[in-house]
Order: sequence, then structure tokens, then C-alpha cells
Amino acid sequence: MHLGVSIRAAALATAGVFAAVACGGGTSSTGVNPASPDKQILRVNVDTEPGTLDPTQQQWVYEANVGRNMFEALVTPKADLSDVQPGAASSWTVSSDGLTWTFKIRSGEVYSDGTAVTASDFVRSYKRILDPTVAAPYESYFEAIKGASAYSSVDAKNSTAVKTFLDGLGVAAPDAQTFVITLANAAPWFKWVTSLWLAAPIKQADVDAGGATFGAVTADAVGKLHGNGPFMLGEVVPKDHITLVPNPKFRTQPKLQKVILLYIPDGNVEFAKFQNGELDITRGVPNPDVPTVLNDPKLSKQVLRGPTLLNWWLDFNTTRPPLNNADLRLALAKSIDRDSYIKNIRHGIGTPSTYFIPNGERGYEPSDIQKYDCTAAKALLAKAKAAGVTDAQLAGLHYEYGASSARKPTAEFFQQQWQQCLGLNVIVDAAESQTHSRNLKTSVHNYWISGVSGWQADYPDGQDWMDIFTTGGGNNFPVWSNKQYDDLVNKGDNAPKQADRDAAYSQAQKILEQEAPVMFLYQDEKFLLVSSKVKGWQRSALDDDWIGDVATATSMYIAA
Amino acid sequence: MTNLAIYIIRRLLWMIPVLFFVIVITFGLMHLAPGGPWDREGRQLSPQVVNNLNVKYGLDKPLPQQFLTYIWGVVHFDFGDSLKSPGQHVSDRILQSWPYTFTLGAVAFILLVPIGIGLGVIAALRQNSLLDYTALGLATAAASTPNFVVGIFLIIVFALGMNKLTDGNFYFPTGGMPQPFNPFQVELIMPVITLAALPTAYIARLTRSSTLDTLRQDFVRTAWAKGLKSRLVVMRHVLKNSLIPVVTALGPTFAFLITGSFITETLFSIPGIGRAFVTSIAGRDYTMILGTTILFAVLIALVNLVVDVLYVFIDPRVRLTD
Repeated sequence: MHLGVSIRAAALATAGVFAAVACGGGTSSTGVNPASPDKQILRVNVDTEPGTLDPTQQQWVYEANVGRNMFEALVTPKADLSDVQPGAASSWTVSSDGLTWTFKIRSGEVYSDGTAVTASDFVRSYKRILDPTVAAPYESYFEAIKGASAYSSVDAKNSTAVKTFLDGLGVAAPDAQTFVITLANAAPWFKWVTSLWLAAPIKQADVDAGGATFGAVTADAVGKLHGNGPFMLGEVVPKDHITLVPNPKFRTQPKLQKVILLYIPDGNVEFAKFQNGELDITRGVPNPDVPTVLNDPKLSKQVLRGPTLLNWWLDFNTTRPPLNNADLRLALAKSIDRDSYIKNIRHGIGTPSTYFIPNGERGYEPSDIQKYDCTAAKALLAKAKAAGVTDAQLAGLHYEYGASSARKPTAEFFQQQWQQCLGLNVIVDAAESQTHSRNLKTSVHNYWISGVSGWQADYPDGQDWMDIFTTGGGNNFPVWSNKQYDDLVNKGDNAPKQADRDAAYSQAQKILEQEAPVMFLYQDEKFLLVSSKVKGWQRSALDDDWIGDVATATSMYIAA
Repeated sequence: MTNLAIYIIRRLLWMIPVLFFVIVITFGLMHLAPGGPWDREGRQLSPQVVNNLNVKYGLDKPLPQQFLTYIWGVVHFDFGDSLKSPGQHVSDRILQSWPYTFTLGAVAFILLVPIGIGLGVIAALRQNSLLDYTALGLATAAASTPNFVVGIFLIIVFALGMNKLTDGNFYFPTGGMPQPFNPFQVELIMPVITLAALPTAYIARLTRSSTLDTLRQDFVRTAWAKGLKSRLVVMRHVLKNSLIPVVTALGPTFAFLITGSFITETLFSIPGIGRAFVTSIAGRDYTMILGTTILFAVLIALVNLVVDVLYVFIDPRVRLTD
């Protein structure tokens, strides 16, 4: 029943320049006094219970919500998403060849029990991310580190091989305050990786004491897991909620005294709870209820709308005839009226997109290549037919989606549009979601057209997007391969000068749009409800859920 | 040892092969279902990470070996770790959620037995009266309304509606499980009604028809004829006989209630086993699926045993043999 949450690439967070655009009436913070400390309780829905409290093993937004409040990485994104700013590190330098990154740990940086955070804690936690026996989901982001690309060839069952691999990684702590990362290639985007919440220092004593149960989401974890973030665990009730309380050792004390993270997976239940005053911030609004909310005098004042770096598209299986024909793919892409889709199916939530890197991030370029144009689409279809695409092949096209009632209108919309513009009868299949995921896998790719896939920025750098469609990429569901695209992306990923990177990514995006292994559909928009008593929330496009970076978490409060 | 004790021990021993086959079938079906615990929509794990996760949880071994390892664990009451909650045993995960479900189910059962049977008996004794029609009408309505409709209706009327009407002064919360949890909290009212509506209606209808059948029996006519007081006729002759099919139905009803309802638990934010079971299937959390299935199988077998034993006391004609 939830829309738009199936693609849960965990996002980073930051306070934002976008906040001005983002904040609805309910979050303006001018001239309102905070309520007394005992009333500083924020109740938020995070959708699902985190699988683990160990940041290294976290991967979903509902896990990052906990992780990034309890832990702080070396750096955090700046408010305007232009760069990173000091976090657990007070300063850093990059060598002229772009390979050696030296971070200075903030003096006085401590865990919630007062133990000092040292550079060797970072060495260990970076190694833990790349430890094959830990099998951290975000491992691939750290393969830019020298020696780390051998990750895939290490046998997790061979402890000697694992140790040799970990010892050979380019991470070191020459002294307690200095953490040095050596990269294999100059990768200017790596600063963003060091800002990921999971790249946080972990107290070795906690890991040792916890053993196999380290990070387990049990009542037992309270007081045994020490982070360096603004909050710490106050209470863990498995399957029901986690309560965070201020970390007394953090450099800026939050105003909120309790943050209760509830697990309500169903959007309709969440909506009912908000209306009944049992919840302060929702994750969204069930799409069919959007008009109700906008027309309700009370609810409409508590709406928060804002940009988000989440882009949605359809995948075409480029290995299967007739979809191996690029003209046919572009014809399919150009025969969908996205304005009508947003208006009629999405109730006005989101912006039509015919571009890859989303609006609000460096590298965004509006493009007309995939724009709705039925005449052009018909011409492209004719061209494809001239090149050997047969009617029999076209009659066998299937559109498959992960079954849910919320996605059905979308599937029917595409079916109708392709029929209307191109006269194609695309068969719609609703597959059980786990089966659908398996069919999409690049090793299986058992589908024709699949919808709807998307990506949410981990960090505002083009690399996070452009790498998706490189040859052999694990998220390259269309199994598309284009040498020119690969070369341009490789250039953009490793060029030291930002202007060169921008140019390479720009060219690569045009190839992607023209070759159309995917059909861009819309860029999402956050539409959620925030109780009018919640103040001081600054949201950026990078934020997915209630929380932003450290500054935001500490600035939120409940008004009197 | 008495016959009864021997019977019970025999039945308990029979549970072992039953459980074994339950495990075999679940294990087979689970692995036949496409997709695995590391498949997901959206961002994919790299093949290396998937390999390492398989190694970590022993999923890289051949299936027969995985099966034997699992059985060996079960024999030692070790049901493995949940694949989706690292560091937590399946048994602990189940114990985190089952008490909520059990409490909810037990409260619903305690309410539904007297209400269901009472309504049924009264309707039968006053057959074709207004009372009968009302009871029958209510039961038919409850039996034909799906529980998500009942639940949403209750939320709209008694939570949101009353909240608006009284300006937030008197309304029901939409569920949840405040800590410390107790079976008398107001949060349970709406979920209990949602959960109990259908089985109550079912029991009421069953009791009514069974009572009507009994009322037409010769021995009841004899009882009336020999001038027994009506209370004695009903209590001693009618009720005792008409309850036999009802007891048979109450067993599975109880099992149904304490194994949780995905819909009721989702609607009212109850972190129970019904929701956990469905989630674990959708996520292919193999160990959780198996652990929960075993729990359900044991519960249902035990409830059936209790029902069979109860027969002895209700119906003197029943002798326990194999």
C-alpha cells in the first residue's frame, strides 16, 4: 500500500537551502517558544523496524534514521549540498594527486560514555565495512580505497585471506588524531562517501562485548552501544519502537528530549494516526488521499512539500528482441504523456522527468530527447520496423511490475498510452514483488519492460547516478552496455577538475537518454504531514525522512 | 497410568513426525519460491556481498545439508538466527511478538465464547421471534463483513470521528501497544472487536442451528413431557448435547485467534506474530518462516488435542482410542 517507498536507496541528510522552498506553514520557526523539556517529545514514523543498530550493516532509510542520529561520520553534507563540512573530523587535506586523504579528528570528540574517539576507531570501522565476513551492504562505495577492489576475490571462509586483504587496505592511523585514507584512483566524489552515516566510528569494546549479537535490535542494546552522534538509545521495544534521548557528551545539545521512532508500514494507518494526534511526522500521505488533505482546512496547513533527489523510470530489457532496438525503446519512451500521468495518476505529486540526474543536484540538465511526442514516436517505431522489428515481436511485449494495488493504475496508464499512440497491445503482468525483483536481476533479466524503478541519491554527486548504467553494473537492470558511455563516466568519476567531470557526465547523459535503456518518468516530491507544533525543521532535497543532518536534529523542537 | 494419560502421551509423540513433515514441506516450498532473502526491489546488493551473506548464514551449502543442519538445530531447540535481524535468534524474535498476539487472541476468545454461545442459544430458544431475527441478522452481518472493513469502520467512527466530534476530548486510540503492556488497556478494544467479530458470528450461528436440532430430539420432548423445569431441560439436556459441534469449532477458532491476523495487527499497529509471519514470507526470511510455521503447527496440534480430550467430558459416548 505504500507508494514510492519501494526504492529505498538510503539517502544522506543535510539542512538545506531547499528548506525555504520545502517548509510548509507548519514548520516556520519564527517567534515561537519551545515547550517545557518534559514536552519535548517527537513521535515519528520510520516505517519498519531497523534490522540492526550496527551502522556498518545498515542500508535502508529506516535504519539510517537511527544510525545517523547515534553516530557521526568524518564529515557531513553542507546545507546547500555544494560540499561537505566538518563532522567528527575538524579538518582534512587531499594530496595534489588526489590519492591521499588526511583527516584530523575533532579534539574532544567522544562517545556517549565519554571514551575518546580515535583515528584507529575509524581504521577499524572502515575495515569492518570491507570485511567479507561482515558482508556490509554498502561495501561497494568503499572499493575506491586502495586494495579494496580485491573484495570480490577474497574467500570469506578463509580467515588468513580475509586478514591479508584487510591489512592491505589503504587506511591508517599514524597518530590518535590523524586518519589517512589512500585511494586507488583520484576520486573527487569520495568525500561524499566519507560523509555516509555508516562510515562512523564504532567503539571496539562495544563490538567485542557484543560479539555475534552486536547491533541486535533488542532491549539489551540500551547502554551497551555508544555512538558519537547527538542522540543515544533510550529504550528499545522490539517490533514496536525505539526511543532516542540526547547524548549528554555531544557538543551541541538537542532540544528534543525524546524521539520516538515508531514502525507503521501502512500509509493509511499512518494517516489515521496523524489525524488522531498520535503521530507528529508522517512519511507521506497515501496518494489517493492527497486531494482530501489539500482540501482539509486543518490538514492542509500541516502539509510539507519539497524536492527530493529521487528519480523514477521504466527499464527496457535491452538483451531481448525487439527491445534490443534503440529506436523502438525511444519510441516507447516518447509515447507516454508524463504531464497527464502526474496530474491524473499521481494527484499532482512529482514533476515529469525526461532527464537522469535530478533537479536540485549538480549535473541536472533538462532534456527533450525523451519528451512526449507522439508523431516522433510513430516515426521511430516505423524506423524500428524497417530495421527488422516484427509485429509478432511487438505483440509479445510484457510490462511487469511488483504487484500492489497502488501500482496498478500506473501499469494501466502505460498500457493505454502505448495503445493510443503506437497501437501496441502491451500485456501487463503483476508479479509478486520478490519474484519481480529476481526477474529484474542483471544475472537473470527475465522481463521485457519493467516498472517502476528508481534511484535516490546517496549523496549529491553525479557519480552516484552515472555509475548505475555502466556495463555490468549490479543496478543496470536493462543490461545495457555502451562503450562510449562507460568511457565518459569513467572520465567523469576520476577527473580532478570539476569542469571536466561536468562535461563528461553531461555528454554521457545525452547518450543514455538517446539510447533509452530506460524511460525517465518523474522526479518525486516529498509530500508529508508535520504537526504544527513541530518547529525548527530544515529539510533539504537530500533528506528522505524526518531527520536531516546533525544541525537539523539538534535544531528541532516542540512549540509551547 | 490411566487411559487418558496414555492417550495424551501417544498424541504428543505423534506430533514429532507431524512436525517433521511440516518442516519438510515448508522447507521445500520456501526454497521453491522464486527470489531469496537478499533479493529486493530497487538498489541491489553486489554479487560479492550476496556471496558473503550466503556464507555468513550457511546458505552457500547444498540444500540437503542445510536441511539436515536445520533439523539438527531444531532437535536442540535452536531455530537459527533471523536472516533479516542479524544477531537475533528466531525464538527470541517469536517471543517478542507472540505474547501480543496471544493476549489479543485470548481476550477475543474469552469474550466470544459467552457472547457467541449465548446469542446462539437465546436465538434458538426464541426461534422466529424478533430476538432471533436480530441475533441472526447481527451474526450474518458480522460473518459477511471482512475484518479490514470492520477495523477501518471502527477507526473512522470511534477514533477519528469521535476525536473530531468531541474536539479531541474523548476518542479511542488507533491501536498500538503502550508499554508496559497489559490486557486491559483501551488500545485493545477496537482490535479485539475486529478480530472477534467474525468468529463470534460463526459460533452464534453454529450454536443456534445445533441447539435447534437438539430441541427437536425425542429425549428433549421426553424431558418436557415428564414436567422438568425449563431451566433444567435447557441446561442439562439441550445445552450439553448441542455444544458438542460447537466445542469442535471452538478449537480451530482459538488456534486461529492466537496465531494472529495480519490485517488486524497491521491496522492497529500491533507488533504481533501474524504480521511478522507475512513479512518474513515476503522477505524470504527462511529461518523466521520455518520457526513461525513450527510454532503454528505445535499450537494447532495442541489445541486439537485439548478438544479431543474435552469430548470425553462432554460426551460420555466418546472413548479415546487410536
